[in-house]
Amino acid sequence: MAVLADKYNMKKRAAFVFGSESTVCRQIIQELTNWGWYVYEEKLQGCTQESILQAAQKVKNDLSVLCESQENLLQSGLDECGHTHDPEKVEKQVAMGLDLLILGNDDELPSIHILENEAAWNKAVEKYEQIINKELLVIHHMLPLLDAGSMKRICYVNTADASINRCYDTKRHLSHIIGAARNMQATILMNRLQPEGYTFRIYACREEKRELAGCYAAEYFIEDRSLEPDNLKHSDECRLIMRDEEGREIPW
Amino acid sequence: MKTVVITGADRGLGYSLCEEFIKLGYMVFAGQFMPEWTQLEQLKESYQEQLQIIPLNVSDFQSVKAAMDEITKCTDCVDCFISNAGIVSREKDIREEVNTEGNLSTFQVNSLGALLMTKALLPLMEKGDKRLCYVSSEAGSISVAHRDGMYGYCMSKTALNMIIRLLHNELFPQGYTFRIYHPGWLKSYMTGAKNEKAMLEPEESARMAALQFVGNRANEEVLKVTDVEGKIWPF
Ligand SMILES: NC(=O)c1ccc[n+]([C@@H]2O[C@H](COP(=O)([O-])OP(=O)(O)OC[C@H]3O[C@@H](n4cnc5c(N)ncnc54)[C@H](OP(=O)(O)O)[C@@H]3O)[C@@H](O)[C@H]2O)c1
Repeated sequence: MAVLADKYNMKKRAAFVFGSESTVCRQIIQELTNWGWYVYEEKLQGCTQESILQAAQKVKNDLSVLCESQENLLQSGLDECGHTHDPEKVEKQVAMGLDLLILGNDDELPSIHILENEAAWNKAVEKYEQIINKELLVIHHMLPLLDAGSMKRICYVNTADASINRCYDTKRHLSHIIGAARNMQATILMNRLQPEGYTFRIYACREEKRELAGCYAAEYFIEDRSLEPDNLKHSDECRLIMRDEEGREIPW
Repeated sequence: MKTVVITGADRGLGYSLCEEFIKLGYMVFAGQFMPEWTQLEQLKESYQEQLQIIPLNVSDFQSVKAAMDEITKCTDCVDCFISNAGIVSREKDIREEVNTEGNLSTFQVNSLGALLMTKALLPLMEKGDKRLCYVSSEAGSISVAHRDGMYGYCMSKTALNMIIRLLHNELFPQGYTFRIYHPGWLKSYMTGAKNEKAMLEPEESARMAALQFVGNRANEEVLKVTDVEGKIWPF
């Protein structure tokens, strides 16, 4: 892990993971924590507008306490391990903001086929509300915190079957329908926020690679991609792409 | 006589599609959502035999069921289904507000409504031409998405495109063929009053749509979004 921390030149950073109960998100949280990140989380199940607001408030409070205590340490000339250092030379590790917002997918989505009955219809509406609307509310409430962070990155965990071009499945309808809508949501958000310095990632889980999906995703989410001024038009940071565990592009 | 079911037929593109299909000699079942709007009734006066007005809210289970009962009384075969009903929701910037209600209602009408109607009509379509047509929009295309807002409408049309893909996966092997149509920017009523600033009269778009909806293609297995000029839009 120390090697990874060096590889990514990581300061202590903070992430918020929404939908933290999914297998993939549990792994992502584990990875980030191992790499020394502060990770805040909120479950998808049972989440309400109120709980989202409270979570945002908690992150804000926590980060300001952290910042303050770090400021004090730096002023004292000691680091967290009690070693002396020159405060001028030490980079402040935690900014008072979130670096990464991760939006997980719901791996418990029922395998609803073409709407069979009224109950299936109601379930589809309920899940759309629970995922799409709650996600947008999380983004809405977390944006001020992300604005203050140093990374400004929003990441989606999705599935490769959310691709309209290459979905061959005939069973898990609801998951694919919501997945495709989430890809559109991410694209509109990128159009809106990229001019403000935001970057985006969409990770496409594939059934075959489920076991280690979170590890691949975590790495993909924190890696930067080239942004050469000469190639800006086609830079990976200027167009939104869904990628699988091997970094391959999945078409929309 | 061939038969077609058209949703959201009161005005705009849906109404013009009714006129086009009447001209093509079809028996038209026109989904009426707003009985207070009299255009369809006037059309019925001229085409008593070719037009059946069916009360229909595509986002209401009971209404769809009642509409199916009405259609079944008149015919045992539907050749073509046109999912046209659509709504748009007003939205503010993501930093200001999230229109959760608007997101849900657009999903219910634009996406699930199309699926619900398709599902309900399948038994009647078994013996017919098996043509399924969906009015989608460039707003649902992720590859060329240029908006920085309108989440609800855009997501609902992307969800619709995925629904069509899923239907295609299942129904194309059973002989069904599909059309996904982007009608252009229409002088229609999506924002409440007729939008005179837009580019195309619904009649013009409906004329081109009807040609694409009834015509056959060499590669029916290819699912694609086409516009008024027959040009292809990516997903
Ligand atoms: N207008 C454009 O520029 C444009 C561009 C791309 C795609 N489209 C798509 O084209 C299609 C036709 O739209 P249009 O432009 O002709 O708009 P329109 O004039 O508003 O016609 C749509 C019709 O659908 C009806 N409707 C609304 N909710 C319904 C429901 N739950 N069940 C059944 N019918 C319902 C509308 O009634 P109300 O008037 O009472 O809502 C209206 O009569 C839509 O799918 C739209 O998304 C339009």
